[in-house]
Amino acid sequence: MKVLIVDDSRTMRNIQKGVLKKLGYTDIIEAVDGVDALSKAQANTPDLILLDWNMPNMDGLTFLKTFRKNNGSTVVIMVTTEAEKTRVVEAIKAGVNNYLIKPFAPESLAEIINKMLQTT
Amino acid sequence: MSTLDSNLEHPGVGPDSIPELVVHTSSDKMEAVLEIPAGYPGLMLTEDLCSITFQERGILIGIEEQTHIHECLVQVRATPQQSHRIAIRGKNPIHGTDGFAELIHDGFSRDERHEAEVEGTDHYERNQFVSVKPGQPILRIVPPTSGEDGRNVEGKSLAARAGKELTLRMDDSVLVDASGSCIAQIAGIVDYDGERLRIVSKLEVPGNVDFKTGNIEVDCDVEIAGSVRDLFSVVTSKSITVRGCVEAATIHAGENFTACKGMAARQKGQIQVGRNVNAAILNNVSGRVGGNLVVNKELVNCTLEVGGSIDVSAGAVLASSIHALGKVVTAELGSASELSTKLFLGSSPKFESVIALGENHLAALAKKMEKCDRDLEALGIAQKRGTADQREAITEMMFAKSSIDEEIQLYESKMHQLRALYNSKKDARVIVKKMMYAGTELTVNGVTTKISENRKGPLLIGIGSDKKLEIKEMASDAHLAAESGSES
Repeated sequence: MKVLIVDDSRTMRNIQKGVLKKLGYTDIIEAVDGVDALSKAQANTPDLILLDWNMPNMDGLTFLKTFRKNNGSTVVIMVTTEAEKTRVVEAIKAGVNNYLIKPFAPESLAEIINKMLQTT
Repeated sequence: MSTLDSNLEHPGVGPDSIPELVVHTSSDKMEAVLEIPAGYPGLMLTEDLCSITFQERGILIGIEEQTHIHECLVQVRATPQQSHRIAIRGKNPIHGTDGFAELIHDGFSRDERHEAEVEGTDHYERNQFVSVKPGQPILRIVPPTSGEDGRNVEGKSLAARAGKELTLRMDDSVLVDASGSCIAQIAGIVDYDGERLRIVSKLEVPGNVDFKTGNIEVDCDVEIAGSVRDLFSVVTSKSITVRGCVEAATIHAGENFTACKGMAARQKGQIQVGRNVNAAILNNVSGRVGGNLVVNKELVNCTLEVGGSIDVSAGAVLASSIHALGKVVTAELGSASELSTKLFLGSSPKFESVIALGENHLAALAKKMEKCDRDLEALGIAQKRGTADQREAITEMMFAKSSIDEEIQLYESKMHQLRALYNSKKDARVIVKKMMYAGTELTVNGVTTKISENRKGPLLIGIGSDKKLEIKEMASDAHLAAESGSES
């Protein structure tokens, strides 16, 4: 199972990596923005993407819309500080499978990952 | 020009006056020599003539031979007044080399003869035993070569003898991979004599540990038939048994140590043993025993920390400083000449320091956790209305707190186990069967009591209900037997 973490914060990437490793997922790829994520997603065909919204070069929403044109089945979980309802709806319309708002506890991220991977 | 004309041109040189070219072949047909007499007409002496002369005698003339003839004729023409010889030689076969074992492991790289000649060689470090771990390559079997055929001057092939395969007897302890490397499958000592290769899981030293063996450092049980000499060391993660005596040496055993004839260390030797020690006698030994200590005769002039019980029930403990976490049983304690004998009951400084370290670490983790909680509380209001950066910072802190919590739980569990082990081993009692001499010092709970007069046994020394040292006389043999018991 390949997982792509997209976040411009190294600390956040490390936090998510830690949770994934504890869940047993060790094949982890990292991207620092939407542009980087698009090229790495194409090269690695991940099964799961953890996606931040606010990033330089290309934000998470733009990446998602581009990515979803050719990749309907990959599970995408948005992990972001964007909490407003309109933004959540926007993300769902763009094709996100689930949404986690920062700050969150490690258990919440683990729970949502497990839930999404079990249902797909 | 006709022959007659040439005779007129070269009077005295005619067909009859041209000497024969003679070829001599050696009996083994590995050399054929063309004799060229002095004054042979140079114009007539051509490469073709030489080649044909050889070939008439059945000698094989190929390109190599022709080149050789050409080179020789240059010299002949330069000095026609001399006689010359042109030799054609055969090729001896190059026989194949036998297969052999190429020693790979570092332990084989020492050349003992060379070492003896090199100044500054530490002869204590000349370890003749090669210790291996699973997966380590030991040697490589180099295959034999087939050799190269030769030929004699008549072109007959001379067959080369192919090399022989090396046959090594091996057992399951060694595996040969595709490249011919022999890989150890278990930890132990390499037993290789040129015909057999195996790993033995116990090192057996037939004699002493001395300059012949060098220091020993392995990862398997060690059994020494002789003694361990002064200033040598025997180190293993497993157990050591010495059938002879141990002198002023260093003994490190991860498991047990048995000194059948005891150890007389002259204040230079020391022991570090993970589990139990069993010795005939311990004299001038310092160090640490993780488990129980049994000494048959006497424990004299030693400085030891023992993490279990001490049994010198047939002998004496004297002129020593001993920390014992478990029960001590001895026939005699102290000496008639009042040499200082110190016994610290229910005490193991090493164990206690590990517990203290663990507790300090837990306290530090608790402080970290408190700080995390305070920082989170301060940022708590940002949960709903704070900036993205603040909310990210909260997430990071929550993760940090979770990690600290996990570490605290882990450490608490380990500390619980450690304290339970310590308490199970701790037994601050001493049984003196025959005599406790004046001059003996007994320390319990940090309070030292010096014995001022000899006391006849059997005595039971322990901690009274007032937490102070208590010395009781045991009324009966049954009581003594019950208290002495056997330690596991």
